Amino acid sequence: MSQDISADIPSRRLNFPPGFDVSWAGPSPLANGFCLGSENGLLQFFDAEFRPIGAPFKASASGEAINSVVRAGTWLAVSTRHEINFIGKESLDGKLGSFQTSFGAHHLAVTPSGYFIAALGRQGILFASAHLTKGNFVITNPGPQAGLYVYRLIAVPGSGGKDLIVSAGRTGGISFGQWHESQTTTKMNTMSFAGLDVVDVCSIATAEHPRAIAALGKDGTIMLTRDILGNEKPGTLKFVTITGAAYRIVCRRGHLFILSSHGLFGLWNLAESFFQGMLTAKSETNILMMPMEATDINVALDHLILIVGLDHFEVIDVDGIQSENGCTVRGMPEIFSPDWMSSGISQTAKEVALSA
Amino acid sequence: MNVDPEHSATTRKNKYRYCFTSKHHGGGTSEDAQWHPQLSRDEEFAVFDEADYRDISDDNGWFYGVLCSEERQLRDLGTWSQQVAEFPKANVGVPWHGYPIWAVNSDAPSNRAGEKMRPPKSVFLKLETVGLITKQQRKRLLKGQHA
Repeated sequence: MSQDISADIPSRRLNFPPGFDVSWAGPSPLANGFCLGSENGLLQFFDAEFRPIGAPFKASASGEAINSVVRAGTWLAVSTRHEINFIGKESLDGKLGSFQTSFGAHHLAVTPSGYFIAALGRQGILFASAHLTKGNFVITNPGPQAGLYVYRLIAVPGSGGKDLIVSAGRTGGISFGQWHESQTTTKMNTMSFAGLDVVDVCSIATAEHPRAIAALGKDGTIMLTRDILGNEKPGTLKFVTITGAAYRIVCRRGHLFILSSHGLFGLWNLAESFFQGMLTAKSETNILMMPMEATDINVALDHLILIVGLDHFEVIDVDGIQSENGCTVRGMPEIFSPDWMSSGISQTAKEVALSA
Repeated sequence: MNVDPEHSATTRKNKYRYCFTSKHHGGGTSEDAQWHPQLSRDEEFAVFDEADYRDISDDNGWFYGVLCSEERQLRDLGTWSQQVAEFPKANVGVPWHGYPIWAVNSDAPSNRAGEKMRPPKSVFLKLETVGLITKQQRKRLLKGQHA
């Protein structure tokens, strides 16, 4: 254990195991603990004390770098730029039970109704049942003809029992739509403005605002909405202290954490201030600045942020960070009023085969 | 018959000729990767020239390139934010051409099933070794994410 980030921030640093260059770190999809994916397609589970559970195993058929791991039912889904691997419990127990797609994904998630979803880039979104034995078919919503690009995505409860899918669509903006397994056509709505390049989205939901979303532009622009299905134009802001190419945004306890090529930035109570209408060009935000070269972050066990560094990974405990400490600066946001444009894209589902 | 325009210069190292194919410059279909309209032809050629100069190639002799901004950030080369370009090996005496490459594998036809991902990992290591990208950028690109 070390405290390389700062003595003010409770953290734990672990070097990559030999032969295991970490490409992804996140919560364990199997138990209360963690999971690491490697650049050569291996997966390793850990318990909550970072003790390895079993040995690493090959989760990517192609041996490409793992970029996402999720679970639905008794199946794991593991994505790389080359393919998506569906691994059944039987396979984890040593028997055959795995399938692959012939296309890769940027990111995976699971819907509230229990479907796998995958960000396929210009091919749109993949929806796959957690019951993969039946015909080995999955459903995609192809989107290239409509200009949709799906880079990262999340799913939250929508209205009428549907799943609400929200995705970062790069220069295509923020896209969102409601989905149910009975649908053959899905309408995806997009919101964008000139020059916007959306690279990530996250939920900032509270009990009062269950469909509140934050989105991140590659230039560090932050977009906040209380209800993505409402008519409100997203609040659009930027902090000059957040520099570098923005990679990821996550939210915990009302704080937003942004990873860029220059480091990790914690925006204290920003989501909470937004909900309370207190976020103005004159309002000050405590910004936790942690310069580092990292490639990814994820939230685990509700209060931990896992950071994938270049040769180690780091865990910080959000609950142990004081709002003002030696790493904190105070910053006022630039508030923008861009000319938001909206459009809708209807997509028809098609089925594609998996290979064993 | 329309002929794709050719750059006036040849590459520094191997004196390769380079042409700007209409298929990847606004022509083609929605399936075809397109160079970013804000990228000049000189910049596109510079990506190819640097790839040839540094020998950023795979086992088939195809070249791969990137373009950095003054802030050492990778510039987008394609209309869908692609940051790497691919230059398939041209026959002797024929001008080369290139296009931005998708960050993730698209649905492969059955006759391409089992084909390895391009660019291969070794290309990203070469890009890092010669200093065209950082380790952080290599690790991001390797998993299909922007750098």
